[in-house]
Amino acid sequence: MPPPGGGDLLPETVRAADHGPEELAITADDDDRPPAGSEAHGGHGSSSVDDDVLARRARVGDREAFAQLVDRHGPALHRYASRMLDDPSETADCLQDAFADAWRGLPGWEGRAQVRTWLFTLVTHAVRRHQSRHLRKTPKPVDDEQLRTRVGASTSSDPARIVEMEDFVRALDAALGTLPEGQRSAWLLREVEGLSYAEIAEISAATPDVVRGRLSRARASLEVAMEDWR
Amino acid sequence: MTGEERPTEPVAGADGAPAAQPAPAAEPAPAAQPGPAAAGLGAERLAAATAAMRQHTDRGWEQVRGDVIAAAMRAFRPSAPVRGEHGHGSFTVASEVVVAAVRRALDPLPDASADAVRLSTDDDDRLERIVVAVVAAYGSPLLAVADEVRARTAAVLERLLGPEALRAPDGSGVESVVEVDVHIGGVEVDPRRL
Repeated sequence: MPPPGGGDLLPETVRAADHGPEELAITADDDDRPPAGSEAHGGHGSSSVDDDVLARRARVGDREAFAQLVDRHGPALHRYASRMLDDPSETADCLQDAFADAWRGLPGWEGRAQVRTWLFTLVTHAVRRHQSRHLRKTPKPVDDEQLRTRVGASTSSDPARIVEMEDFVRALDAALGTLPEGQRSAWLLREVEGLSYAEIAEISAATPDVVRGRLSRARASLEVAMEDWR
Repeated sequence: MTGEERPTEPVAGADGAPAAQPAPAAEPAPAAQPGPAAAGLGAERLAAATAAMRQHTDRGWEQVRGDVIAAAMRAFRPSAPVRGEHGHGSFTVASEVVVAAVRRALDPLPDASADAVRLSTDDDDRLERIVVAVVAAYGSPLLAVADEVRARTAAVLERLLGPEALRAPDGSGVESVVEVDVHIGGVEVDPRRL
């Protein structure tokens, strides 16, 4: 198709046909090298692909790739949101909002952060919107029904061990419910989800020093609560 | 407080695992906290409870998963209209539909995949330009890849918008005035990442 002769709207565009194949062929001198044992195959498999690949596919409308991202990160995001909101219905709404934001935002997402960090950021924003909407200014204790919903299938096959672990989770959930929002968020993101200080700071729009302080206070409070348990 | 981080048990899948995780004894007990023995018991229980929490999958997620995915799929992406034409008149197609169609057309390619698709339209919503950014397989002949991407994109545009929508509106007989540009924005050594 001949170009219309207009100005360059997208200067980053490369007209591959302007170059000879020798110039464009990728050689073994490039930084990236094929991993040992890698095999070429036709089509694009989707099992065990990286988050950034799934995000790239979802950006150009691949809903299956997006669903895989949801399945991969949904449990952790739910674990986090449910403990920030203390309400199953609000948690569900929050996650729906966050993943809808993700789907809408993917075409403009530049990928500077890891997908997982970005999703936690979206959920954190959604949590704040829900908290603001419902004027949840002070934390409230978590009730027994919520705790029952949160405690799920254990990987252990020892019934006594399962009961013990469920008791631990219930006790910790109750203690978390008494923490201020910032401390609770920082502790969950660090201790349960394994995010770095820098990632938590980005998610919570704070500095790493602030995150460090919140974590220290949260740990101290939780240790006291767990000490007093039973 | 020292400001240093007290380690608990290793975090499963902790991609942000702290490189500077200090030794357990590096952080003294906070002021106004129980004595060492009591603090030790609390810390021990907290570590066990934290490990238990990491290993549990909330039942709540299983209950809301379907609704969450459905809500996301119902969400509309910002999308501009693109004018198409057929024998009975004109119609518009959401740009997102064009983007998804181009992506699907490129999916079967073994050596390239769509990274981004950008469209430019005039004041009458007629498509003027489409830029298809792709990631190519390591070692693939990029000129041939670009030609294949361009050909498949042109075919999608003609099928979606109709050949009339791609011609000059003044009847000058130009076959197509839509510019299809291919941008190879990256190279992947692992074909699974295409």
